[in-house]
Amino acid sequence: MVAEVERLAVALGRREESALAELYDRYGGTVYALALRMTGDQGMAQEIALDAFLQVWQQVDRFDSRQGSLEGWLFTIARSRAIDRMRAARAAKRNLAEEKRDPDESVAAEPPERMIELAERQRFVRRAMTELSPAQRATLELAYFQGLSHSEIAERLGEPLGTVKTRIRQAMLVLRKVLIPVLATS
Amino acid sequence: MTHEELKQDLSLFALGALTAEESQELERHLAEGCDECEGEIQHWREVVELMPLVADVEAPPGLRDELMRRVADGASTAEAPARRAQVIPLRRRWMPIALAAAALLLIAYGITREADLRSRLTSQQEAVAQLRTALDRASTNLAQGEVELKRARDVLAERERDASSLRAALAAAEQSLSLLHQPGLNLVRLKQTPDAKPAEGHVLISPSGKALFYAFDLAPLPEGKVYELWWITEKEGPVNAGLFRLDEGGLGQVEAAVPTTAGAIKAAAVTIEPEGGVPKPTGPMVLLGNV
Repeated sequence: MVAEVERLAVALGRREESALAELYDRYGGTVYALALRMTGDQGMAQEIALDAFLQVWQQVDRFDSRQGSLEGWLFTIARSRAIDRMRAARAAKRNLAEEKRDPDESVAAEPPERMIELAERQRFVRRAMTELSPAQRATLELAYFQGLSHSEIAERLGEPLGTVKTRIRQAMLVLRKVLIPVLATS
Repeated sequence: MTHEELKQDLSLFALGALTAEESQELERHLAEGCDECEGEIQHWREVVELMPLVADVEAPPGLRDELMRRVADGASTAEAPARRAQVIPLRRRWMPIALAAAALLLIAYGITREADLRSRLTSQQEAVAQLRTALDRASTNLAQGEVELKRARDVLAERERDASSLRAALAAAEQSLSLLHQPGLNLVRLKQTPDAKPAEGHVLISPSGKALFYAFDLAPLPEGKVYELWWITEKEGPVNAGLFRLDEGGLGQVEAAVPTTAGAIKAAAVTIEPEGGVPKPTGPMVLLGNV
């Protein structure tokens, strides 16, 4: 996986448009779905998806594989864009290292097993979400897809702050436990 | 905040769920070089980065071409909003999916909230229902209790009436029998008259002037008739001594006083007379005994 990420990132760094096309083929649907889920607006979701891929294309030199996967970075950008649009006042806060690396690999054709791997991870994530209680899932989705802070969620749900924080922590622990097989660092 | 407290918030930080101040404090802590938190935050970021995979919608056809066109044009992301009008119109078939996706979050939130409210409402309704049942039961018990209490009062009143009449009967009996304890008691026997059916009567006369009369084996009387006891006196002839009917055992009974102004009593007799009695005998004589 790491080698795959490096390969695409390096090719993007070399301004190989085929690498961007490959990235889009793999994650275009996911990024668009994420943006659509967050904004509920098709036009906005398309713009967010385009912006996210363009930002990866333009700022790939800021990508640091030690900070996470390329897809994670892409998703983070898309989510931040969506939050920016949804709540102009709320700036997405992301620490992305700005290290450059030497491009030394070329882009190969998308191997089918990579797509299988993505499908496998999707399967894990969806299963992980079903492990959550309805309340945990709703709270997590308010945080992630709506970009709300715990205090905003508490206000919206009319629940104590401590309850919301605890529920998010528990939900995250459940996800982490279920997702262990597909987490690179675990 | 302490390191341990900050560490507790790492998952919320990765999710972007901390407030701006809390995020800044955690960022400072990380910038200060806390290796433990740095390692931990990587795990949480990975978890968060996987979350978009839960969504499953295909991108609109044409979006890829639009991306590649913008790249070829050297478009920057800053220009993107200005180009928004150029985004290809969505096909109608995407509408339901998009609407569904948009509605999903609202539904998830709504369901949670509604489920919570519904759950609270349900438990309150259950509590109310339980109270109502208990109240109904208590009311029923109370009503039953009242009915039983009333019944018990009735029974008690009946018993008291019985007891009262028994006491009265006992007192009367005691008074009657007290006659027997007096010395000088005179007993007169009465026999049926020649035309009458066989019967018998006794009169107990005390020296104090009280008398008890008992009749046996007299024939039952038709409606409108009554037996009348007479004293046959020296001066006034027959003097009414009392009326009687037969009880279920066929026994006739009269408590009488001996007349004091009619002279000596020569005999006692019983005749059949109309209801209410008469001052002088009119009907047939059935019992007669000389004193």
